[in-house]
Amino acid sequence: MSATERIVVTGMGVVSPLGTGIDAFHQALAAGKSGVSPIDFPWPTAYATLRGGRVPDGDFAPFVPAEAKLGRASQLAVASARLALDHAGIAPSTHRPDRIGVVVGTAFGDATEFEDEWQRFRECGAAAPRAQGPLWMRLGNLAERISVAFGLEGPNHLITSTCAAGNHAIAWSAALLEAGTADVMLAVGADTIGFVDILGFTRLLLQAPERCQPFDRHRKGTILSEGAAVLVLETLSGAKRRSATILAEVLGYGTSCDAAGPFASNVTDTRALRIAFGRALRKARISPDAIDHVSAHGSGTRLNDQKETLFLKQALGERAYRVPVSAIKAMLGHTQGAAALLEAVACVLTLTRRVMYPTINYETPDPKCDLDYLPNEAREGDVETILSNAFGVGGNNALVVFRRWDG
Amino acid sequence: MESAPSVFVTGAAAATCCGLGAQALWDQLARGPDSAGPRAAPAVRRFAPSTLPTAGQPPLPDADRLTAYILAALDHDLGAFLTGLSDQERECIGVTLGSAYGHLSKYLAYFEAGTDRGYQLVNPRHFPTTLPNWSTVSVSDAYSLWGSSTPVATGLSAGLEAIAYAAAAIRSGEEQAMIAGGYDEINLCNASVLATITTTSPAATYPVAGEGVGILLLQSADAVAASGRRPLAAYGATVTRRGLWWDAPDARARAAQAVRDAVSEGGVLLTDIVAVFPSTNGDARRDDFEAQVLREVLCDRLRTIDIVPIKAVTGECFGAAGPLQCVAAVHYLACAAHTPEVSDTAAALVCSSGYDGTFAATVFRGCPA
Repeated sequence: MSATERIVVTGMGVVSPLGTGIDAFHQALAAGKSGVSPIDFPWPTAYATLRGGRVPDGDFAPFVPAEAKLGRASQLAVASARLALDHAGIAPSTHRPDRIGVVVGTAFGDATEFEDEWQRFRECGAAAPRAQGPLWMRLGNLAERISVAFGLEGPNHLITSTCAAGNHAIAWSAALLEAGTADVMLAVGADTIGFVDILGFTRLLLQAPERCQPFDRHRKGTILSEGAAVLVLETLSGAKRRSATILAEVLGYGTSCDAAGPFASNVTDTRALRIAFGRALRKARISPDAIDHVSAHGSGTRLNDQKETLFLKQALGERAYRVPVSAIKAMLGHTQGAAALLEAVACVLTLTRRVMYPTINYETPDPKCDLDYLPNEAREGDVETILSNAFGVGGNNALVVFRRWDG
Repeated sequence: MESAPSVFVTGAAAATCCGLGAQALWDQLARGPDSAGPRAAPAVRRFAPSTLPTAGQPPLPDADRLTAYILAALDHDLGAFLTGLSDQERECIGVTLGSAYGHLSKYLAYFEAGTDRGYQLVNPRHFPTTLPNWSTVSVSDAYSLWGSSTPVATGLSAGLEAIAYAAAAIRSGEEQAMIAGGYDEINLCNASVLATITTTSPAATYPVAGEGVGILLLQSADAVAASGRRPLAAYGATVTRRGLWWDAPDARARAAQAVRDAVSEGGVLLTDIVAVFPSTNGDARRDDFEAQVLREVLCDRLRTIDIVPIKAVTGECFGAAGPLQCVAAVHYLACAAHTPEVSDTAAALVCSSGYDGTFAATVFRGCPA
């Protein structure tokens, strides 16, 4: 196995508030639809009407084995994996199971089930939460759920770098393929909305009351959401061997940590972002000039958007003003550990369908965020190379570069 | 096939019921489990946070004891190295820590505060301590390490997987050095599982809950040369398996193959193994399973190999257990390097066999003095 083996995308699966399956997802993104709506919680929160992105149960239930007792995030993950494997034309039964692996990125995993179980335990004095098995581990083990559902016995990892976890999962999956540890990897991102999640975001004033407005002058925060997405990754030689349809190439990736504390407020400190960017470019063997589209982290929070804008100016130089930047969290809400994977799917769709998705809810330009954010309307055009950013609470950064596959 | 670049272990840190520091763990192992003091069932091996020398460390929100463990262990064993780094070196050092339960107690405290007292009385500044990446980024923060910061949560083998991830990051050239290991504390959930095992055990032995931190400093060959640190051991490989419950029909064969694969991928021979650091924790059925696996792989050689069951001293430390076994294995190999009768190719095997169906095997090679 060569260290320079190229990594390609051969399948995708999506379960999101904007739709299930890549066609529905693409159509909703291109039309600038919003997946945000009022959601219920059994306990009061800071808002009389809490808004978020929910996936209708009927959208993922058909893809989850009926006998499986899974938490909600696990169900989302398994459903998206099912869709991705089908899209890639991979039937686990016809491949060596020990050569297909899974890396899942998540922030909260099956936290909602754990919270429910814990509450029952407190109210009823029942046996400790799910003491009969490993399910009571707060995060669940989404990676194992997927491997059990499809009989996969290759590498199997769960990574929890919060909102950067999806890109971390792509990077780890690619590294495992490069090392020859597996032939096929499912890079998975999945998350749902737990009460602690809501408490934290609302109390830190990071949750917007109504909508997510990335890079808008009057942005008030993000909107928590749920969903799952999967990229099927293979080595180029492996994909060619089985005559797979190649959708795009994972050209490079880089990770880093801000190392500036959980409440870092210095928006000019972009050192760690530049480190991750430099790593991604070195891996991709390209210069910054090759980047012609950016899928922003674009969470809609005041400091993050300003810092990301500054970073892009530093990274891309004068070209930053001419490189379109898309922030699909405006439509999806912030799906946390799933966000980067959903954005990765959007990147591959942009490369294959030649549409850059809009940043909706953009009304008032912010002098400190003055790039081309594709306001409110999708834009058609050929894109060659996309940078996808993901930043996590606490300072995790994970960047991935995708390139169009021209055969 | 091109051989993977070498990854060396050049330091180890620990915080356990034995005290602070890898040496304290080793000293206790050398004295034997009985010296850990009397224990009555149901006993736990808990570390008292009040004894942690955390002076000089960044303030810890709400006395986060897990992060206090980690920072205290690092400060004790690797503080001089970590505080003496240049900015350029800090850009190439990452952190990856594994935990089965993460900050469960903080999470539940936050949840209960929100449900019982209402959202208005929840302290927003404590929210980050509920997140599964909190300890990992806290280490990056404490020492200004700008490399990757990667929390791993794949059940009870999370700590060994974190070490494997770190080695891969160095081998790929992404990082020059990694702080890698695992941590976990006793909570109602994991203690209740051990209690279930205790009450259903057919034998008079039972697992004792423990908690702690085990961390290795891994470096590339270039970083070793630049830092002048002495390699204690070389990392070989880690192989993990899922869904491997001890009573499944093919469990023993799969686990045995995982051990063989780890030995093979680690670049050693079965005959090189001079010590095994098993997962045995007093759960009679699981211990018997692991013994059968080792017997199947190592056959008669098992009689001449040192078996070091560290959980007899530390208790079952969940996600920290594997890394603590690694700390002991590395110390063993470092000592063996000075022992003439031990060959230059000496290797140590670490096994992790979890009640969540995870199984992992890690191999280290000795570094001749």
